[in-house]
Amino acid sequence: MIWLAWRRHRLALLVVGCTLVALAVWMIVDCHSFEVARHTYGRSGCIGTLLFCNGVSHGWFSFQNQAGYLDVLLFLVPCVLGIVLGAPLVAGELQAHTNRLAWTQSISRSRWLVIKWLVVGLSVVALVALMQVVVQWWSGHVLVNFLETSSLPGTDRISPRLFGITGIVPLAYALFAFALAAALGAILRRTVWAVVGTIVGYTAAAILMVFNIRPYRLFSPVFVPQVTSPNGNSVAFLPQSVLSQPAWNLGFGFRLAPGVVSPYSANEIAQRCQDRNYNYASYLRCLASHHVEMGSFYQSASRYWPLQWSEAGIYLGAALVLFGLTVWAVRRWRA
Amino acid sequence: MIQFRLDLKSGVPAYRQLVDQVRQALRLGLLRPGDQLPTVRDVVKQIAINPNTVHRAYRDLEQQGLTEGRPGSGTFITRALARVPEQQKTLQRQLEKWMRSAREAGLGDEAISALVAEAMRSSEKEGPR
Amino acid sequence: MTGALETVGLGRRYRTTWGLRDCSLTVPEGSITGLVGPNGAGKSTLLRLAAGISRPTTGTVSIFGQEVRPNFTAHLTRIGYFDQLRPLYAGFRVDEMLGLGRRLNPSWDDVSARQWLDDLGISVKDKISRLSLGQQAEVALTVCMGKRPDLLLLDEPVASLDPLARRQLLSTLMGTVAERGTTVLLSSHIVSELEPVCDYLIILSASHVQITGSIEWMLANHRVLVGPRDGESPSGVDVISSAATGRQVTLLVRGMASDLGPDWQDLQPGLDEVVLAYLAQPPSGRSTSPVDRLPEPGEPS
Repeated sequence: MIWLAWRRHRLALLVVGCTLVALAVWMIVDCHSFEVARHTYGRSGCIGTLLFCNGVSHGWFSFQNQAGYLDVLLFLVPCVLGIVLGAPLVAGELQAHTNRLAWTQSISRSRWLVIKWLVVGLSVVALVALMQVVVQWWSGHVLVNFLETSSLPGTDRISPRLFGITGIVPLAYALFAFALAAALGAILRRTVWAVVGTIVGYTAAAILMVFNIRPYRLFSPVFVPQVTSPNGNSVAFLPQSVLSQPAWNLGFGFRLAPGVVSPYSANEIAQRCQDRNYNYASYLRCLASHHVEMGSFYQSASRYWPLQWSEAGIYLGAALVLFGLTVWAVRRWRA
Repeated sequence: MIQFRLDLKSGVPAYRQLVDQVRQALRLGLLRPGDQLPTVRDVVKQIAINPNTVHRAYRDLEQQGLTEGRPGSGTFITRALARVPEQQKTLQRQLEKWMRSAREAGLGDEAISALVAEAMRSSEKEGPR
Repeated sequence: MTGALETVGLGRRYRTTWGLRDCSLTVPEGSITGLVGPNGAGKSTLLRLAAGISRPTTGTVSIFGQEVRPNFTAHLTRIGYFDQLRPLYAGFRVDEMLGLGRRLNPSWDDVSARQWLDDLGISVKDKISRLSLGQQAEVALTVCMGKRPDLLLLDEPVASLDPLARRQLLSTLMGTVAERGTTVLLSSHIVSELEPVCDYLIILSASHVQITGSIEWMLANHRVLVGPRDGESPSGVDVISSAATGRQVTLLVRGMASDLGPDWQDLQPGLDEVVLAYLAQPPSGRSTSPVDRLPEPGEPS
């Protein structure tokens, strides 16, 4: 059965493998071009965009665009891989009716599916893992220099743009996309619907993860309150460099001062203060009277690896649940 | 070795056709005592019929005493059927005379065939001797 | 005796329509049984239920006395299933299909399988997609038979094959039956294809079993009676179908007419006439009439 799973899907795996090799080659070439370009166009210490570089020629920016394309592509890779290999895993067989051939050999449906899923799924993970080696190196050399958020080394690894394509999460993303596509294929019985469903599901999960779970739910973010003027009438916004360590800026928000207990959340109180006070100074006073602080949330860059492992764990768990769902759907197929 | 053929439209059961073909071959001298009949497997490969039909035909032939099955070797012819060529010539002359009378009586091809078929059927009911 | 295949009250519903209903029959071991009926009668449904690909809505199906349940593999080693659509992996070569059979079936006989293909003139190095329809059917049948099953379930094995391919496929099939005494259940909507090959017949129409019996019994126990339209109906027989034109009525009956008037003719029907008469019948609740039972060997029909 292992032979059959491999033989059946070898073309798809080969195509996918070649695509990844092409991407890897592109990245290696890109790295080399970067070094050349840096010497040609850049000045020592000049990194990032116009903000920090003066008198830089056009060539530098076109180079930046290229890196941007590659960056976006790498985000799509796990999802596309998962869909390409996962959607036809079960649905393809059901549509071609080859399940009628496979299920009347002397092998149970469960065994058929489990081995197929493992052979293809683990191949996907292995391919992504191999490519990650190149991605890690490329992003560390090239991409960090083009991100606009900050010039502090190590900062941007945790920002969404780099977090999703570095480390180990792409492996978990790919397995999740694969598992989702396979499960939808088994339940909906059509490859096309599995593809559409996986795109929708994967995107929804990614949005939920990036905007809610990763920043706030896994580890408590650091809060840096804004400085209020002595008379309480205005606040000063902090420059980035006040932070003593690199971090991911989650944005502006409210919190209750430490040790304060209230039946209402900080956001609710802030909303009410805003509704009742039309004057900025009185608004600030209202906040202060309820012990609500205004400021910015950050995730420290030291949280990079804990977040990677946690997020990978979540996606992996979801993939296993979907695996179970796929086995169940195949077992109860009634033809 | 005898080559069997099956006429599905004749209304004669398949096993009977096989038996008749063996008998015919014996009468014409194409099969002689000691000759081997094709194995059931070979027959069904030739003419794609149910093996049970062939088994039945061979059993019938054995019951008629025309063949015997030797385990491990196959089915062999044990006796010949009387060829009686002289009787045949007499019969043929009788038939030609009857045919002339029938034509003179005004019977066409169809009527003659119907009479012949009817006569064959009623003689068949009596069975081979 | 337990049959190779036995169904009790078997039924399968697809949303609003029943693909098969109230099906109770026994396929005797060692027989070649034909399943005949028009398209949509339930032949494929019955075969898929027997193979375990489909799950019954009502009733049970058993193979050699063991109930078929889709997630148990016990019956899979004993059956070979040939689907109507003849699904094969198009990108494979013929020897890779044999490899599939070898790896997934413990009782695979590679030597015989290669011999069959050799006899049929199919090279094992050919790609499946390059073979003709008839050759693909032959490869599918080889994969089916190569695991040396005790029961073969064949869904329209010779449909849309040219006469040569049909002859070759049936010859190969009959050859293996002659060697091993395999039980075969094959379906077709063409009676003349089944007649030389089958011992027993199951007639299906409108998702119900109309009648089952040996072909010999069917031919011996059905007569065509032709007589005057407004005359007395013959007694002691079940009328299966009747057709009236002008002054004459033609009946296909089951049983022996005891007292037939002089103006009645008593003729032998062909098998397709008998089958056609049963197919024209409306569906009714069956499986209680004793004649529907296949006669035991030695039993008077």
